[in-house]
Amino acid sequence: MEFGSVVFLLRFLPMFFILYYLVPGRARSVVLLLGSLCFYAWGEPICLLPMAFSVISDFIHARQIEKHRGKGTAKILLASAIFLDLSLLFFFGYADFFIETANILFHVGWPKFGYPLPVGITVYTLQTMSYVIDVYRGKIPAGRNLLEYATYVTMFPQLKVGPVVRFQDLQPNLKSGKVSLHQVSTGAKRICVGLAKKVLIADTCGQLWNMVMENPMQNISVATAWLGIVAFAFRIYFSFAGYADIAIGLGSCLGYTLPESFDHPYAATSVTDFLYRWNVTIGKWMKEYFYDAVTRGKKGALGRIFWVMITWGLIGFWYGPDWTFVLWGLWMALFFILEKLFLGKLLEHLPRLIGWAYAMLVVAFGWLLFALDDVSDAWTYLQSALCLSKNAIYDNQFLFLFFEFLPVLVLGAFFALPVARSFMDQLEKGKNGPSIALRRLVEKIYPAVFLLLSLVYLIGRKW
Amino acid sequence: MSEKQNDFLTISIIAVIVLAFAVLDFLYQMGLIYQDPSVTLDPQPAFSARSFLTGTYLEDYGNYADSHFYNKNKWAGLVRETELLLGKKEFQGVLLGKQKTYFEKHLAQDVSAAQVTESLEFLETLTTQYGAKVMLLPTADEIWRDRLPLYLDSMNQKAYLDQVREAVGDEAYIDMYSVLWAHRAEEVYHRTDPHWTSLGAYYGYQTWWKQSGKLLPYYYDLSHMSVIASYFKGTLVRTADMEDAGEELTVFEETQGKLVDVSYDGRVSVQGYYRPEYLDSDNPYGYVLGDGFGYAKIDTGLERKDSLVVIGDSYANAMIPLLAPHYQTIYFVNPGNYHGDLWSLLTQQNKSEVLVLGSIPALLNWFGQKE
Repeated sequence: MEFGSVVFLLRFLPMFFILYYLVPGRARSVVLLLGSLCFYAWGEPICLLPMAFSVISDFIHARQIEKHRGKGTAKILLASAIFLDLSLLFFFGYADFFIETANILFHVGWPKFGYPLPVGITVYTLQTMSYVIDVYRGKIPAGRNLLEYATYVTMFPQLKVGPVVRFQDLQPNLKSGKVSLHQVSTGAKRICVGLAKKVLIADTCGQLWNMVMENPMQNISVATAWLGIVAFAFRIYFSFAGYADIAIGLGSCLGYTLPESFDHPYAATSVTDFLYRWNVTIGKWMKEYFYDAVTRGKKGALGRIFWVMITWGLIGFWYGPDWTFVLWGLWMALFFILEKLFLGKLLEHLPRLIGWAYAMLVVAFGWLLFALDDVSDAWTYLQSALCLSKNAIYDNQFLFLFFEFLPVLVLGAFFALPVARSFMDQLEKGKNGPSIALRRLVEKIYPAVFLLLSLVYLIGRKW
Repeated sequence: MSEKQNDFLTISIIAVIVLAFAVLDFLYQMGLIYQDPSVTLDPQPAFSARSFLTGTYLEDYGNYADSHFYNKNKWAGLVRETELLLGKKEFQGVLLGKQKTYFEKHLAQDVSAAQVTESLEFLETLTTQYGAKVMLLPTADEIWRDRLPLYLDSMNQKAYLDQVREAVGDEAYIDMYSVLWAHRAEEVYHRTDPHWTSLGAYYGYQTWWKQSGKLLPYYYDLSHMSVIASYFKGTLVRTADMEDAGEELTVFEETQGKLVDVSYDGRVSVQGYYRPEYLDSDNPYGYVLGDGFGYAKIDTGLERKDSLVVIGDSYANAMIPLLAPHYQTIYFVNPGNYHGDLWSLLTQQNKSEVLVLGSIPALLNWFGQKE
């Protein structure tokens, strides 16, 4: 079920929340579990099976790990749990990709499985793995209540693209089901903002990107190529950030505080800064549960560089089964490492604007790997963008598309940079009567306008 | 107002908006509120255990819910008006130009060098081996360039026509560009449809007649042209889903004493050129000769020595009634839809005259793949 759909917004959500608020606190996790299963089953009911397997497997493994804590058996159980989790993810998400790669490389004709990628498997696999690892490390006790644990794994708000949350962060509320009026109010506003990001900005920027891509890449003017890159950058950011806003908002309405995933990444003044602002929970998870684990006790710089590259390659892989995603991760890691080695120090002595321009260039080229089917396409596109194809600097096509999409580009820039947040911060600083009244008025108007516009666009749009 | 009251008010505003839409959706789906009788609802997706388990039912249901909302057209109108207000000029691939003229998009980059070469070879073969006349028609975006949205880089059809003229020679080439350009201040194209009007077709007929050396004088003049609908909304305005009062649809009366016999693709036979049932369809231009066929045989019932093979696209529809009085039979082939072998047909009809009569983008689309 898509967040930006009539079925979700006007049917599922109202019914779900009415039921959720009607039942007493302790029963709310049951409603949440059932709602999440409905949400999850909407895509393909059969995909509930791997999820159910994962829930039960990790729950039992964690209990057994706790029972055998300190013994060799615990390590074997941990390995078994991780193996099963990764096997599921590999089988459903990546097996066909590796078969295809083998078919190309070795000219073999292995048949593909053809199984669809179950929605949320990339998110809940990380969550279930972090749970068993934390139990193994003794950070948390193994859960006693399967219902609580299943609710944590299946929780629908963050199932699509995250944020990835840890069991211990949600557990207190899984028990109590408490939710305050302020949480609901804050969450509802956040949902409206997320919806507007997805429906009004990301989808429209996607349309612009598609229109740029209707042309042969090698023939587009330099300005059109950059317009396309900006469109894709907005599309991917506002899709992810919009979903994350909706997830955090829904979580808040349910009484949960989900971690922030995106913090205005296009305001970053270095690649490292960007990576700390982009899909933060994935990066943190990979650092805590993978990078730190594999580099523990290792001091060599070369080894660390190697594992940074591997970690970011895996993060790229997390986005989807394609080598271009891996390359994106490696590309970003390369500059992350360079900044750690010397570039970071250099950037500190340069004006912030130069740092921002450098970071955005690296990010923009990275997005080409994300956006296009293969490296040669990305290179062809890059040649047009860098004027290596000797195409015109700008042309009528650029001007037509630019003016056609100018309003959404302005809106995108407004939300991509922390302009709106600064404005709200200024409003919140005001302690006198008129300032408070103005803040309260703005807080009422913008979510309502975003929500109305998003609903009208969802219902009325034709593309 | 306390913080609690403030939060409550915020929640209430958002909840009221969502619930208002949700209730509207529910009542509409239940058939409890007014439904525009002109809007036909698609049947709900059929449920089966298999479609449910594979997810197709739920996916189809989601799509159904998204596309069936109370007064969907009004909401679409609201989106459209907002976008117009924001200066948008392209709607579902249709361009909105000046004077409320709608254009199909024919961009320079949409045509490959291979398409140009292949089409020129095709025309050369037709003219040298079959004595064809070539009457290619520029589309409205070429003749009404001044009405196009700002900065739109439309294909240079004139440059292509120059190449065609050079390839087929002056004898075979019928210059419609100059004629339509000279009459560009008149309504030679539909404002809401991608085709020319009967008036445009009439100028085409005049030009063809002058160059064909036909002894028979004009059968038709403009006095035979009459308005049959004042609310004609062509496919472009329908695709863009724009509010538009429509325009006049004019046709030449069928005044040859008896109705012609038209058979389509060797299967369906009807009498007369005109299909009133098309007026309220998605393609009202199909009023003349219909649409979607690859081959039509028009038997005029007139005692003439001559027959004609027209190779063209739907642009030819408007001119065929004007050509008909000169022939006993017209064979109209649209290569875009024709599944037979064009060259065999031409060999069979080797005594017929051959006329290539179609729009430039359609002709180019018959060839090659985009680069």
